[in-house]
Amino acid sequence: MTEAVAVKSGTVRFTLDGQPVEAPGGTTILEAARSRGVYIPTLCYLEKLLPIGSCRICSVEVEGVNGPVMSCATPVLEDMAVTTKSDSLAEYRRQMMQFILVNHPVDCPICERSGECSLQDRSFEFNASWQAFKTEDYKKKPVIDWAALRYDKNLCIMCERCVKICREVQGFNALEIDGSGYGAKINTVTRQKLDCDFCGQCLSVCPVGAISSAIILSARSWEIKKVESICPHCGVGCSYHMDLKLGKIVRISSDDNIGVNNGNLCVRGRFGFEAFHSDERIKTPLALKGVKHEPVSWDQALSEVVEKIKETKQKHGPNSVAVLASENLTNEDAYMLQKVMRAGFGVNHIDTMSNMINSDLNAQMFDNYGASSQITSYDEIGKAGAFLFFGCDAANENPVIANMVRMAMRDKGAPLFVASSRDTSDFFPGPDSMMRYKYGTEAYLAASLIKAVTDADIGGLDPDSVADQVDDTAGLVKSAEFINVQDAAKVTGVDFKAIKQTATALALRGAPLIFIGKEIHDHHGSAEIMRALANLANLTGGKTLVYKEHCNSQGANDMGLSPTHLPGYLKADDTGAVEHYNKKWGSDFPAFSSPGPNIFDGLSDGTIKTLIVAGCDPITYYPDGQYVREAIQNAEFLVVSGSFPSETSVLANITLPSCQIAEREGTYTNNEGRVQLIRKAIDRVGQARPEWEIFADIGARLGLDSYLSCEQVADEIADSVPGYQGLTHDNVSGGGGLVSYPRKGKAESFQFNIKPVETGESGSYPFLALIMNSLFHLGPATRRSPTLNRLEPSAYIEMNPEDAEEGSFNEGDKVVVESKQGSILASLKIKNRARKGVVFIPINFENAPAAHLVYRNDPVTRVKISKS
Amino acid sequence: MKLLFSSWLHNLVDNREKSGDSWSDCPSVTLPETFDKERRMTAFMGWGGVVIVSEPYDIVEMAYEYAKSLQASSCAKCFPCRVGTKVIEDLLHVIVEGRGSDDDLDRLATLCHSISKNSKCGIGQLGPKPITDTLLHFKDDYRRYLSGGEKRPGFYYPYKMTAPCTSACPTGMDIPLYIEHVKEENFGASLATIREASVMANMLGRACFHPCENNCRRANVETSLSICKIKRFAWDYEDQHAVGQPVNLNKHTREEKVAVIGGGIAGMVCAYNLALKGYRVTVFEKLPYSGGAARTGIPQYRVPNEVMDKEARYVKEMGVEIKYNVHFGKDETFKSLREKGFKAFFLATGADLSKPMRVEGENDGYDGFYNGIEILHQVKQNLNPVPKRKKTLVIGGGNTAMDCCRTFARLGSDVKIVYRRTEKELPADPHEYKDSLDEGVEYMFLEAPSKIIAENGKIVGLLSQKMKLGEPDESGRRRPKPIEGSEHVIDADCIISAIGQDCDIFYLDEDKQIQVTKWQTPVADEDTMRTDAPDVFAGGDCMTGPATLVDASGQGKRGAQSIDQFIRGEKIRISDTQWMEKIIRKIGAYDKDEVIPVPKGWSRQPMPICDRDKKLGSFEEVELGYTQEQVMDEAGRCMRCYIVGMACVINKGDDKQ
Repeated sequence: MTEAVAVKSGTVRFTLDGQPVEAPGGTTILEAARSRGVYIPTLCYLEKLLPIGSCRICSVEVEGVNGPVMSCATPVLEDMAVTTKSDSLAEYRRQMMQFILVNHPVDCPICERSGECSLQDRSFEFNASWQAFKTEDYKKKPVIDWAALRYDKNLCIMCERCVKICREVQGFNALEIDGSGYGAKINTVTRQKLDCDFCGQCLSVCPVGAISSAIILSARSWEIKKVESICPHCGVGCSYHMDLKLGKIVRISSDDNIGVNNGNLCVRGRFGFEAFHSDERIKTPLALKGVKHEPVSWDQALSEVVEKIKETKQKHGPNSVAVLASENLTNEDAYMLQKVMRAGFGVNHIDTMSNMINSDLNAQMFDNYGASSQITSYDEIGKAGAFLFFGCDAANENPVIANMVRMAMRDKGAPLFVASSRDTSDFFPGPDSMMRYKYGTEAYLAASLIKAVTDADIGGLDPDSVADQVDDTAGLVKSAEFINVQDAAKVTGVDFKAIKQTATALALRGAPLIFIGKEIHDHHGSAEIMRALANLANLTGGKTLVYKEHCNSQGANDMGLSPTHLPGYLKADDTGAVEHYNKKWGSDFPAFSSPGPNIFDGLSDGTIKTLIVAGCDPITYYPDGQYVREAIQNAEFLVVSGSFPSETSVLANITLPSCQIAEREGTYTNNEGRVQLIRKAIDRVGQARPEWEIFADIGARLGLDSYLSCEQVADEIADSVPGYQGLTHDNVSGGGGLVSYPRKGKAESFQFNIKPVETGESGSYPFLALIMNSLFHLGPATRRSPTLNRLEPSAYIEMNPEDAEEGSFNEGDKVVVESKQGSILASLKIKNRARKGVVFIPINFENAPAAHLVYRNDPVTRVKISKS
Repeated sequence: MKLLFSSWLHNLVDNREKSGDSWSDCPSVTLPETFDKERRMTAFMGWGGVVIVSEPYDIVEMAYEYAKSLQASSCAKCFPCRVGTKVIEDLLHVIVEGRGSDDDLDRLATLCHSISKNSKCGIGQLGPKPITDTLLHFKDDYRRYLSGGEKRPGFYYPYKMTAPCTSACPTGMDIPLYIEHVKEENFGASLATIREASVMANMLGRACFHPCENNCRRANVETSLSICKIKRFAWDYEDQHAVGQPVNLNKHTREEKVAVIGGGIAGMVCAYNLALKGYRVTVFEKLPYSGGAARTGIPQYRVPNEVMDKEARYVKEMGVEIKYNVHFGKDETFKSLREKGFKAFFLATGADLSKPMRVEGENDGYDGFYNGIEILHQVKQNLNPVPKRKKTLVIGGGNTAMDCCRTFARLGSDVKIVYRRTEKELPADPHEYKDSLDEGVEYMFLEAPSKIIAENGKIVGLLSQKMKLGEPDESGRRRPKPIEGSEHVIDADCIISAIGQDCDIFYLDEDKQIQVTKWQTPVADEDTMRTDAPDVFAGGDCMTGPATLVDASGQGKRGAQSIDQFIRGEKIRISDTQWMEKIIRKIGAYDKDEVIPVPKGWSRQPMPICDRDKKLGSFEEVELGYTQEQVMDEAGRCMRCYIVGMACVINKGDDKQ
């Protein structure tokens, strides 16, 4: 026996085609060759997956071994002599291609994959131009309907990439090989119809045409022009290609080598593109005349807008005008909007729905921690020692981040802990613990984790060892002293063992990454919870990453879409800050004191007379939608910009058509604070214009500078907004650029407030309702994608099986969901995710707007459910 | 063995031209006389080549059937095997139908070579060898088919897909599959695969003596796979993560009740398998806890109590009722349970009596004398505190002796093993022996006890006689002979007898149908586990005498199979596939001299061990278990040595299973 050498350690010296080389222990021969630019052909290999070894193409020769060795699955070993090219290897590869091609239908003329097909490429490369082998029993098998996808067994080469990506990266583990031998095929693990996340990862990695999209591709691959852009559906900021034929987007395709997402997309990104060509667009500016919306010219529309704003301001003061801006606006849109309102009109009351839901939170974030403590690069995922998802529905919210986490778990074995009011542990690999807490007790749980980490009997972390991370470790530990973790377990409803397991791992492994989701962001006690989690992160040498709901939620705040902050988090009431911008903008607006009540309260009580809604639909999506509608109806003048008609736009005096992302360029800033470029791919629809252009036009009418391009706006941002220096379109075009946020790192001790948030009495409204996003829909664009609507067609409510049994409810029942504010119709799904007494309702169905169930001043929404 | 032809492994023996008396011997091949003690087996084809026992046979038909079996066994995960074996099958089909040509033979040879060089696992790598052998040595037989004159005789060709490790495993566990699942990060599937063979995944993962590892082809490259500890990881993963457990969809779908006597591994495996088939099983266990010898005999630092509790909970979830503190033979009998409607019995009462040393003083109740079995139980379950002993002697050299000496080392005593043969003959697991040396245990070889010396009822020493080794006894080990006049006293205040175990089968007196062997075990068929009473089956230590956990597990599963056949009125027999398993075991699936074309140097992952100080001071588990990174790396070394063995059987059986 040869002396064995330990793998995954040290450096291994070997030869590659006669050249002496070195590589770290654990590297495969293929990886070592590739990193040196030595070509070894592959077919089933995919860098982001574990080695598969099914195609047998990557063979190499190793001295002393009588036969080919698969380079993808063999680690480099000391003194190994590897040869990557030889006649016998070429012959073997040709034979492997012949095997693969046996009975492969010569469907290239009609196959979707033609031109992008690994089989075509490798056959050509190895000159597999004649077939020595054949088998009997070749029968064409039907194509299988997998909802948003299709599977053709005739074309399948059983490389298993789809199986692996679904398991290792997507975590769903939906597919596997069914059968043995030549008759085997890919099938769902359940053997029922495919019912998964429909992320389409399997589609994107299939090297042949076996898996195709149900949206039949109407273009040949060589007819396609690719435009790289950023997905507009959530805060992750995935890169993808819009594939165009003759000016129409026919497909979204991914590319492992661009952006932050390593080629991964979610169902919204991949299948939500049909909205770009939807017919339901607002095509021209409209003016409300009586009860009808009549088309008018841009000039007419904008003159009226300018006049009305001036008039209102004159009569009632600058606080009588307000702007509600969408978090889907690009940085340029947002910047221009607030610049024109502030510098042009002297109007400061600008806000976003997210900030309004939790104004306290953002104040905390900006002032106490700088934006920085919550803004973390995705690179940290690969470095983290452990993962904690807190109040996150990680598989459905910002889903591609979950993919990154799964790959880190696969490669490093990092443990995962999930704390949420719904069991969201359908992760694969499974979390070490699932802490399903009672809604309202989050702050208590977070504080008890801090106590548990430093408690000598539980986590055992010595606070002195982290003195350089936490400002006042002694104070922090002392603040948590009063907490009894066993009591916390009882009150929060979480198993003590799970808390102990989490705290022990965090103390031992350190450097956790704590993800914080929408459930916490929208929570009435969110500031408390976020501070506790930030403290927990600092204490254990880790970081927090807050999920941003929309693609530019971060940028919206960065660009000052807030009544209290100017761009770059400079305060609106700070004369120095105001002076900085007045200098840049050549304007003369004053420092702004607090504008008073929030936009809807202001409309209700008559403080706000004129409202501009830029790109969003608060009546459908803002909590307490009925109140919002009444408040808006109270306005004297309403201007709405948007791409699609909405509940809000039907009330508008002036409606302005705006562009979707495919029609214009611009930048978004994602969860990480990375500014990324979207590119124009298709022509503008009708007379639509992007918001920056609309507001620049308004600004020009007030004598402000005019702008010829979006890029020009970006240049100005790079020049004047703190943190955005150098982030011009050119500089962010390849991989984006990180914003430099003011850093404030250390945690501080404070009084932990562990009193649970009031969740109301059972009484006549027995269920607590969690109203959040589902996976398939996020906003109006997704509702205009037929494929997404097929996958999730209508409003539903998710109920715990115990509750279902008590109420004699069955799966699929049509029910009336009623709160004291309103009611909706939905169909019932029974799942053991939320605790007993808690239901989940997605907010995204405009025909059953769950936002209408909410009463704005209550910390939670309670509902009753009856059969319809 | 005298054979007509053999190309098995490296030895070619061709007696086809010779008359029966002048056949040369083939010493490297051993096959049983018949297929299943009834039908004739005239040929065997497998990874090592072709073996023809005698006429009649048809090599071309067999080659075709063998190719079919390869294709049916192919996992479809690599092109050469998945497609290649189909092409071979079709080519041979054409040939065996009389429509073949010489070109086809050449193509066949090329295919076999290509497939064997490029395949991902043993099916493709080793499968083509016998077909190549037929092309080399049986050209005339092929020619007869090519000319169109020959007709297929239609013999019967049962086959079994296995692997050297699987073949060595008494439960027939699909080891390469569960290792592959771990390699592919599919831990739940790995555990499900393990449980198909034996539900006691955790117990085996911590304490199995892993005969598989001694049959692992990777040892021919560097060292064997750490198969046992990979299994432990799969179980630990489910235990330590918030993932669901499988459910029994067949729970209580049948009305019949079955009684399993004894809640050790044999009984629990039998109960679990019957529950999966829908039966209502009750396990009657005399102790307050299940687990049998694993629970009472294996110390906490190897198999913690909590482990057994969790296994028991899982088995209960499947629909098995466990009644504790019920002593069969006293509290319940065959008669009482038959009256309560139990249709069948599985006896799994183990071997929990300490074998007497027949040494003066062992029965005098001296303070400081312990039976190995009892003292391990006492310590493991904290039954009574054990006073601290200064010098302990453990008589015996098997795993029980290991458990005793390491336990007492942890209890703070100086421990010596007294064994009558030498280190070479020590029956204990080599790594147990090594660990015991690490823990400070000393060994006195070639010593045997003559008399226990006590003062005032307390042990003060052992009178021991030196031995030398003479001729081998019936177990094959050299018999120790006392050296005259060599008796001497070894100081000690504690003596533990751990020389062997006996079975307590007093309850068999009730049913006179059941015969008993001279070793005090019920007579039972080694394959079907049936005794002479039609509704009584037996397995585990109580049937074989003290053996291993994994043997007991395999018997438990076969017991369930037989009980199921019995209750449904079917013939009680093992299937033809199971007969093939036995034949493959006989011919031997592992060749330690095989040269395997794989690069060398990928070493086995070391098992993390707890701190040495911690080791001796406490009963905390010594082995910490692999990390996920380690286990996935270790799993990558597995070469998936799947092989297919096929027999040619004359006279079709009544049911082809």
